[in-house]
Amino acid sequence: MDVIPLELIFAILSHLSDDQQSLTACTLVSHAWRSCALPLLYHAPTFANIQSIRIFADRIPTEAEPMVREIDLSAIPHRWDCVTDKILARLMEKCKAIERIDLHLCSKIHDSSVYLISTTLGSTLTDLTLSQCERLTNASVFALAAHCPCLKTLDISHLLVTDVSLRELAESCTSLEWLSLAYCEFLTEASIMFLRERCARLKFVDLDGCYGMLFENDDDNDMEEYQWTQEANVVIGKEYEDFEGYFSSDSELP
Amino acid sequence: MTTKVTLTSSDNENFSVNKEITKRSILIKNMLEDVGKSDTPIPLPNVNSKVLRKVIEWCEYHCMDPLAPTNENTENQKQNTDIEDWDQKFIEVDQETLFKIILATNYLNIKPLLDIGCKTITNMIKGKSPEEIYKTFNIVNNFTPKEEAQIRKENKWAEDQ
Repeated sequence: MDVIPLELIFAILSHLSDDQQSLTACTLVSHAWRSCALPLLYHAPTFANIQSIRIFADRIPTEAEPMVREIDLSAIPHRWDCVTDKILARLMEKCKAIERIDLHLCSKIHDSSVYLISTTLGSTLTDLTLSQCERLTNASVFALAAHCPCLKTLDISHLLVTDVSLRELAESCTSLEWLSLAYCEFLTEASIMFLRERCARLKFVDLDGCYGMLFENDDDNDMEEYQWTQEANVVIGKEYEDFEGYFSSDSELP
Repeated sequence: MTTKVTLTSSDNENFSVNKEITKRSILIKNMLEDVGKSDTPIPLPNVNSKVLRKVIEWCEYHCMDPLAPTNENTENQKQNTDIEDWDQKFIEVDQETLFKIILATNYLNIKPLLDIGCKTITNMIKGKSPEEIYKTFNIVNNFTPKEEAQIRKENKWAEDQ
């Protein structure tokens, strides 16, 4: 095995990127193997429970800190009880190069956590899921708007946010491609206006259950006519039909 | 009539191979393009005759595969360690030969065969303990007991998944 150059050992181990157990074993084989296995093991760690996140945050080796690119807590049992602001603060202290975070249903966290995530990761952050983190408010969206201009994917479904923060988001996060606003019941059509004006790359907006949006229907018009939807290939969601109607009626506004 | 190209292994054995087949190797393909028409044998000082014979056998079997597979889905390929039946049989060789095939295909730049070789080793690693891994591959564990204890401690989070 000594004859195999490091780049090929890396290629061999990269086939194990979804096999955390084997990668863990590889870190103990030799210094060379460890240097190859470490970036693969720490790229997108998966955790069985809250205890393993704590151990991870406390013991991560310094050289592995910038290797962490993805944190997905959406499969942690009882995350609505156990994922706290404190544990996220621990992670943010160490892992400052994270690009994707999934905090689905981590409903105990507060705006302060999102503020910390936004300020720590800044333009590194591209994907964020905060769906059903029910304590979050406009403050979280303001923080993202102020610090994370490179967001591409954002899920803030079921949050108590309003047009005023969404306007900020649309102003700054113009790289957005995928956005879920499902069940953000306080949002109105104004939000869609902001998005339409600013986020030309949006391909998907989920407006399911956005009961605050009152769309007018005008079947004579075709959504094809509207530049924004032409560029953005798909705009789906349960309210698709109404959405289409909204654009149609919007064309008649001054 | 098909054009033949002569390849010379490190132990000076000549192999006359169909030109199209040698183009599986990006290295040889580029060489042929640079040289143009020539009957001079191509020396391959990094590959011995035993390994070269193996590599040619693979290239001949796969001569109908599309050249230069698209690099899309690299993410998927990474995860997928399945190997086709014929290739699986082909790569059932002793470890030393396996390493030599990997090094040769890396040098000759035959990515699909390099992938098969790498995946074969990946499959040998899967599910093994560190002790089993360095025994399997004769690797010298160069960690001090203290370092090893430290790494075990760091790795604790990934256990019991």
